[in-house]
Amino acid sequence: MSSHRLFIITGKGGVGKTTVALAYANHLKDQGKKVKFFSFLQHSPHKILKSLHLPEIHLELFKSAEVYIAKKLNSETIAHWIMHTPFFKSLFQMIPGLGHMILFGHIIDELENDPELIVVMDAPASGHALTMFESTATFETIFKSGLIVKDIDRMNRFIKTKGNLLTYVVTLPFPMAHQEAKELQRELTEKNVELGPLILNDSLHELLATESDLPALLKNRLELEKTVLAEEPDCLIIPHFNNDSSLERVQLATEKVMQWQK
Amino acid sequence: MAKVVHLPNNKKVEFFCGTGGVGKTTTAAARAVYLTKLNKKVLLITIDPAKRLKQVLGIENKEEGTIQNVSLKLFEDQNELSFDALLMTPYSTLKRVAEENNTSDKIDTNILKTLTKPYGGMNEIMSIVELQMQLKKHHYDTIILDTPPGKHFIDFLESSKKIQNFFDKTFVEIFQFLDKSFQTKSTKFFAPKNLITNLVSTGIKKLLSYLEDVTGESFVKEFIDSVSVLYLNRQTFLDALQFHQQLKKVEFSNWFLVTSADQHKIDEAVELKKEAESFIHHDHFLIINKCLTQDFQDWSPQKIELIQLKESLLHREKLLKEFSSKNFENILEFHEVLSPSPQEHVASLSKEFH
Repeated sequence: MSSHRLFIITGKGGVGKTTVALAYANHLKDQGKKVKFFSFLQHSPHKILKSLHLPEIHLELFKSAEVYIAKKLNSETIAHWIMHTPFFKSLFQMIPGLGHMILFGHIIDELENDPELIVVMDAPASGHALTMFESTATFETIFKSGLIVKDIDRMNRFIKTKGNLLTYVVTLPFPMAHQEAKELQRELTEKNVELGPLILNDSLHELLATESDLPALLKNRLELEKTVLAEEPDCLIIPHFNNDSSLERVQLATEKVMQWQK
Repeated sequence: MAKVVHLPNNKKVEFFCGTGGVGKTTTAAARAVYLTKLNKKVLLITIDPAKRLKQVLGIENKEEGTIQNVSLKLFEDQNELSFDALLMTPYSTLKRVAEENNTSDKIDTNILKTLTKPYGGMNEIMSIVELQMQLKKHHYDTIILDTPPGKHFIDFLESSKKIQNFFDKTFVEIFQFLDKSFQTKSTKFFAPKNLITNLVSTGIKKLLSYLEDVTGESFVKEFIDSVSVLYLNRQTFLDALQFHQQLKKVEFSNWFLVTSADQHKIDEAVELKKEAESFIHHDHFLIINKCLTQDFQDWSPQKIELIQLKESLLHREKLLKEFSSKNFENILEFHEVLSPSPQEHVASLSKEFH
């Protein structure tokens, strides 16, 4: 078992990141680890987290920036006032990476304050995961001095220190989606992000592989899956689940993660 | 063939919106192919930072940000026809804006380059600006816009507010305080020099000094300089703002909300509906992509696992369709297409618009 402290589950829209991230967190909890879940989504999966007894980190972009500035300037009043001026509001809207970087800083704080804690993060590829990793580098070139630069250094150290952070890219088992996932993996690698194996979600391969009498569409799908599987022998495969309930799907996916970890 | 209430008439601007993974980009490209075949002059713009269109249209990295001609032959069509495509990058759009306003020499700053990165937060504003610049040329019958997924769809529709906030009066006062001079015709954005302005200015002085503690002095200076450049170009942005209103006119624009039968995302369809109501006109279309019913019609599996698979997939689709027919007037159902190549995929989707 790895000793990573932060796991990021990312991938393009609609590939089932949230299900996979929940299953991963659930699996870690079953191993007796102290796990918290963090979602970049507007609507985090509160209900499922509650059913699974998985605690969540609540951080709101704007609010956490205010807390951050208050900490830096030692005054909540001034921080509140700064964050509510139109100037700063605009600055914040214009540079989304700034906010994400501050969120990331908060999560690192939590991890440093509690050596037992592990965080699993559900982060969309476009917009969030990449902005976050990219922002530390870009802001370093923009801000040359000031308190924020020290924090940027700290985040860079955290990202680049092997064994802290592990990122998984999730994809659907089709060649086009796979292509995009590989591109994302390449971009993350360029940013010195440590990657886990690719996760193929919603696979029908196991179910259909031995069937002969399939409609054209499913035959086609099986062939496409085979070409991806041939290229990715070491990936984690999460099969398609027929269950309507998302909680049940997370529980079934958790079993798959467990079998794979063994 | 798609089952429809009425088929969409071609309009001047056509938007494709939806959450990630529903097939927005391929559907938008399919629409471009379809309209081109009707002899329309089409421009397809994508502001999706994932740039799937690049893969679909075979456009190289170096060609991003400039208009490229795409032959229908790419889609195995015998026609000599072609359409134009633009993989929008905010920085190249900013360059075009700066050329129009003779400020090209001023945009080469670290901060503007960061703001106009693909994930930099200027995407929505710049796409409206780009769209308007292209419309002004009167070169195209239709401009198709593939918007970024999810929450960004709202950002896109709300970009007019962002523009407004950006050139907000208090913002201008900051420049005044810093004694930046703007050689522009209009002065209506400048607040009168009265007591209130002075009070605000004193506040700004404090704000900037606090900001400097956190971010360093050089940042504040560079930021103000960069924002000043945008300010010099503000007429272009404000024109775009006015133009934004036009997008809501029924006779001017088509809105395609794309959703997908293969995902458990009814909630998102509900959201989409709510957002659509508050931002766009009533004459919009819901595309349910990746429908399976027809393909499974003649399939009667014997094995229990396969029966369950068939039933669960069709049940999911049924729920989405039921919800849709209650909430949307115009629904287009598109089949699931699985092709090894993105071009074949687009070619076969384009037939759904017939």
